[in-house]
Amino acid sequence: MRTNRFSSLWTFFLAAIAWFLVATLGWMQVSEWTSYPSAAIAHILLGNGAKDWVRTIHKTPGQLQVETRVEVPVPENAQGQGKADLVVEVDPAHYAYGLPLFLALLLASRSRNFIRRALAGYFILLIPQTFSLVFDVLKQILVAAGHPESLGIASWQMEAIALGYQFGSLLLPTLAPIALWFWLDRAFFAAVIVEGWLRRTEAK
Amino acid sequence: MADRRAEKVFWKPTADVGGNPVVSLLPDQWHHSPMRRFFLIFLGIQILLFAVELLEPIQQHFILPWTALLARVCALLVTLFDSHAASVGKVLWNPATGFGVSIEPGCNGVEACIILLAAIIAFPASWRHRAWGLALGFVAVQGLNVVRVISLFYLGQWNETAFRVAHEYLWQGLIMIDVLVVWLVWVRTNPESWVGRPAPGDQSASA
Repeated sequence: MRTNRFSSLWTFFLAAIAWFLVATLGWMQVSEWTSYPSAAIAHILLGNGAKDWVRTIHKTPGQLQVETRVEVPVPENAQGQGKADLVVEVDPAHYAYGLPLFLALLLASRSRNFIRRALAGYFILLIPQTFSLVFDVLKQILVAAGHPESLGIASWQMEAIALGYQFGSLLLPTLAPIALWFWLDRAFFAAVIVEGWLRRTEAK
Repeated sequence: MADRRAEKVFWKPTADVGGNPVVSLLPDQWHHSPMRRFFLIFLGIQILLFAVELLEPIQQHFILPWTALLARVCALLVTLFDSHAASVGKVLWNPATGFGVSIEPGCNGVEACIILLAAIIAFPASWRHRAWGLALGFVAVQGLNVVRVISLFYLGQWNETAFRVAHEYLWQGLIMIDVLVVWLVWVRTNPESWVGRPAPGDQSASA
């Protein structure tokens, strides 16, 4: 029975796509709330780790707003050209789309203990989501400030923030759910290899 | 039960559910936490390549020309059935409506190829099999990426919300599912599969 379930990777491929579309549509209805914990963790991290830059943080479902101490020039107005404190906004759900991908892979591989693994995945995926969120805020501050000297950091720290942002926005949101699924559902991977070996043996 | 046994054999080859010694199907060196070894090599290669990709000379001489080529290929394909398309640099646009899509980092398939490359190199296989997997994987990933760019080009002209959902959420995941399946196919067709190998010192299992 089990072999039949893994008889074709194409079945898995198509099921993963179908479940991903369904899960994404469902997730979009609740993403503001499911990504709220990552905003809360980012709040704690930014509030404690970037005290010199961050004045206050407001979070609502769907938005993390950071009021900073970083001054940026504002366009000329009636009072002439001046400066204002930078306010950075980011949508926590923007980096949380790995959750429906993770759920789709669990469903497509017919993973055992689905509920338990789904819950574990949700909580574990909050970590990379928070990473992406924090580095997005830091990147926005960096870009607005213009030079690392104005923020009191060295150029290597600026490069580290840029690298962290790129990693957190381009790779982590999709890589983390797949790596996590691969780790939690190792039996599926084992079955894939066994099936390939059986097919080659039969062919001989 | 069968999958649990398979998991035990592949990743914890010490004893079966009844406590009996399991004949190992893995090469000896993989007994020492193969998953950990795979993940460490995978992450190491990935971080290295990702950092290299961000270097200015690499961006100027490889990434941007590649992205511009991708835009031209997309424009070429679109003009086969729609004359209202052109490419300028990395932008695919419709001169009639003025709408265009700019192919930015994350949309040129390079990051997906880096992930696939790291996964293929981290997994034990011959270099010949790796080269085959990389070539086929590159075609599969970039082929789907062309479909992504063209679909976004039309979705954007049709509906802004649909474009945003497809761009920010759907296509990111679909490309990664593509990478995953290409890698699984490659792993399954690995002629140097561990399965069926005798355990070290076990002559009886070498049938």
